[in-house]
Amino acid sequence: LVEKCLICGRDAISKILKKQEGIPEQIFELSNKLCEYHAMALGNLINKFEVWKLAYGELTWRSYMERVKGLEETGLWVKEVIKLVSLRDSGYNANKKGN
Amino acid sequence: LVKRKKEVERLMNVLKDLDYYLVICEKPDAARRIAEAMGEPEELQLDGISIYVVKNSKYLPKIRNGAKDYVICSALGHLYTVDDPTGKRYVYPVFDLNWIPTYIAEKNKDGVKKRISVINKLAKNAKGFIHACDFDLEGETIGYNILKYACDGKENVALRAKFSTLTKDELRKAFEDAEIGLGGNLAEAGRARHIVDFLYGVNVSRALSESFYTANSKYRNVTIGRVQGPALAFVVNREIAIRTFVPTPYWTIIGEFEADGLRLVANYYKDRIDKLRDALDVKISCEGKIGLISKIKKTKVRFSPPTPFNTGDLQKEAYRVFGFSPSQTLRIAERLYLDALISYPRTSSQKLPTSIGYKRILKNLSLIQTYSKFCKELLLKELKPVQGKKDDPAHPAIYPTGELPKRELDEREKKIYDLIVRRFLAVFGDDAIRERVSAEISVNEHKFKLNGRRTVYEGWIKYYRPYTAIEDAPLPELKEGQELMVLSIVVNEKFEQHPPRYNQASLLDKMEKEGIGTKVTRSEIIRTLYDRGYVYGESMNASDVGFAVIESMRKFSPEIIKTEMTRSMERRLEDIELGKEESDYVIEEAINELMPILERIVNEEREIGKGIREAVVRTVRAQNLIGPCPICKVGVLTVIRSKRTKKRFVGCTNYSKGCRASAPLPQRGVIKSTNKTCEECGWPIIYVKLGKIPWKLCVNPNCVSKKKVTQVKAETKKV
Repeated sequence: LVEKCLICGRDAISKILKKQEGIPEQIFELSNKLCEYHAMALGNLINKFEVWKLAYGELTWRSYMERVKGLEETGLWVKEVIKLVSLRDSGYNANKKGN
Repeated sequence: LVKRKKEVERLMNVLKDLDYYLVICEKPDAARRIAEAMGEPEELQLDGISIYVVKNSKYLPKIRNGAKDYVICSALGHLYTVDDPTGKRYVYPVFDLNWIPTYIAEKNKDGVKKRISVINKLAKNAKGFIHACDFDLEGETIGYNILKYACDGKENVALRAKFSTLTKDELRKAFEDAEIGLGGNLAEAGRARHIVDFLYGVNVSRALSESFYTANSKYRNVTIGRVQGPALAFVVNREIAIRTFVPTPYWTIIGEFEADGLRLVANYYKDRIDKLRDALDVKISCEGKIGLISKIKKTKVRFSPPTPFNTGDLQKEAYRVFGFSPSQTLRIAERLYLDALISYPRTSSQKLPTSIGYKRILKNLSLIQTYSKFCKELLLKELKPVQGKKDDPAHPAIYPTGELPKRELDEREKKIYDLIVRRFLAVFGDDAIRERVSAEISVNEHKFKLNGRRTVYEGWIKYYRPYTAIEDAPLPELKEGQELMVLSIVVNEKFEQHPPRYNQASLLDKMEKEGIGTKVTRSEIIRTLYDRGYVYGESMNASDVGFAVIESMRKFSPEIIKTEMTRSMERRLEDIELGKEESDYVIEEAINELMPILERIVNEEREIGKGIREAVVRTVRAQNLIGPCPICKVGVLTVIRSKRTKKRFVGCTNYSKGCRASAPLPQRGVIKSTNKTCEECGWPIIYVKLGKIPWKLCVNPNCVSKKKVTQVKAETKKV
């Protein structure tokens, strides 16, 4: 069975993203569960994190995502990826608390 | 029948005493103009088609054949088209094609049947034939096919009249100079282009539609063509770049200064600063300090006039200044050409040869009050137009003929005509001279810049004034060494913008630069992208179906959406025109290229069809969404059709989680979202289109606004 994109239901692709400091592990696992477009959006989101950190001096992954999500210029698929990441994040934290 | 019999009798009576050339024109208006130029025409009607008879014309071809009269008739676009002999729309691939009358290939073309029959009758007694359709690929093909099929093989003996305007003088000269073979290889190239476009467009489109049918047992017309594919790919690729865009932050700094009671706003010398820390350092270092004007530089810059319009330039400029779509502009220009007000608007040339008679045109235009002053001014100087790089062997750049409008032009025609006239005047103008002043303000080790500009000498700008975007922003008098007080330093946080979406003009420009399509077909292709629902919106947004078509093609037939194949085919078709290639060879090559593409589509029919269907479903679902649910504030209100009653109504997507928001809907007409909510109740407002005028409606049946209207109606009734 072909895996489907968690966001749009297109066929998921397998994409390896370079790991980066300050970005939670589970974000990179997502790249195999997204279609080529959402994977591309996730890749761009990860790559730009370093640029943003340099620009603001200090920035956490979470506040980076919050800022990017609120910008008008941000692409639709990037916003969808952020929404998915946030949802999974809150689920992940809830599980942790429960345990 | 009696009336027709009388018409035929009358026509035959007139014709039997004539020694005539049968003149084939492209459009009825052109036929009338040509008839008026050749003498005093008598208009006859047969089956509702106008035929002009000019007896003993003074303007006969120099090559004599004994004929002294003209019978002038016209086509109405293409009377013949390429089609496959099977006549079955689901059969593919088809490679053996025939030229057949369009009334056989297409529905509702009865007029064509009558026209061909009339031309056929007129051809029987003609002493000679003159091909007088537009002098370009399409015109040549139209005339060639009529001479070949409707006039029983006269395509190689007919004379060709070549003209770029429908003015009497030029038409008379064109008919006197008419020769055999003036069209060169245009007809062969035109016919080959039609065949190649059919081979690609029809075969691949049929394959895609068939794929859709195989996967879904339903028919849907899914089309893609040789030029349409790459053009759609441009839009889709741009959309991908926009949707995956993550903006980068940067900062700009603006300083406000004061000198002798005068306030000045200057930009920091760097247009963007990439780090917030650096921007704040500048602010801290400059605030409350005294600045000094360290340098003032004045430079004069010359601006040459714009080049004369070719088709693409006119379409882009009309889009920029009036917002007209490229196809709309071409249609309007075509009407102006048929009124003999402008030269032939389908041209690649940006050059105006002296032979068009600059002086004569300017003298005539000076009779129009708006241009009178400018024309008289230009007539006093040596007339040397600016010429562009692009050329066209068939026609010069677009120019006004100098003929005065004989009817009231509509608003759009007036606009395009004015644009063409002013551009024509501007190309004869002097260079404009602008002065740029830049002042540098030093504060500590930081620099700010003030820029001013003004026009010193207007030159061509005054002729093209309403359409130039050049504005003056002069600086006040400043001196080097002058001190300025820093009033404030403002740091602005900015973010990079995503690449802009294509609009019709920028897509046309891209297609031109990539060398795909022709000056005529480009705007038609853009319109097709809209008609098929592949793109929508003024700034072109790719729809889900557009995405699905490109995705399928990228996966299974990437060649069809790449520019390389289309561009190389365009070159080969141009080579036919130049006599460097044989059309049969080019068509054979096209078939060889097409075979593997079609094979791959056949093998993957089911998957391609499924992908397109999913996109169609996504699109329909998105179209049905009308706005956020005001009850649960989580779901979205959407148009639903009841399985039981088959009636449509509004429901919430959050129904499964308990939201029961619902409302009735009008059962007829098209419903669209306005993306607005009602100020009274917060429910979405929709458009309902039934008949010509759409109306807006709040979907909430209990909305206060509706009660108010009912109240007012009731009170009015009472009164």
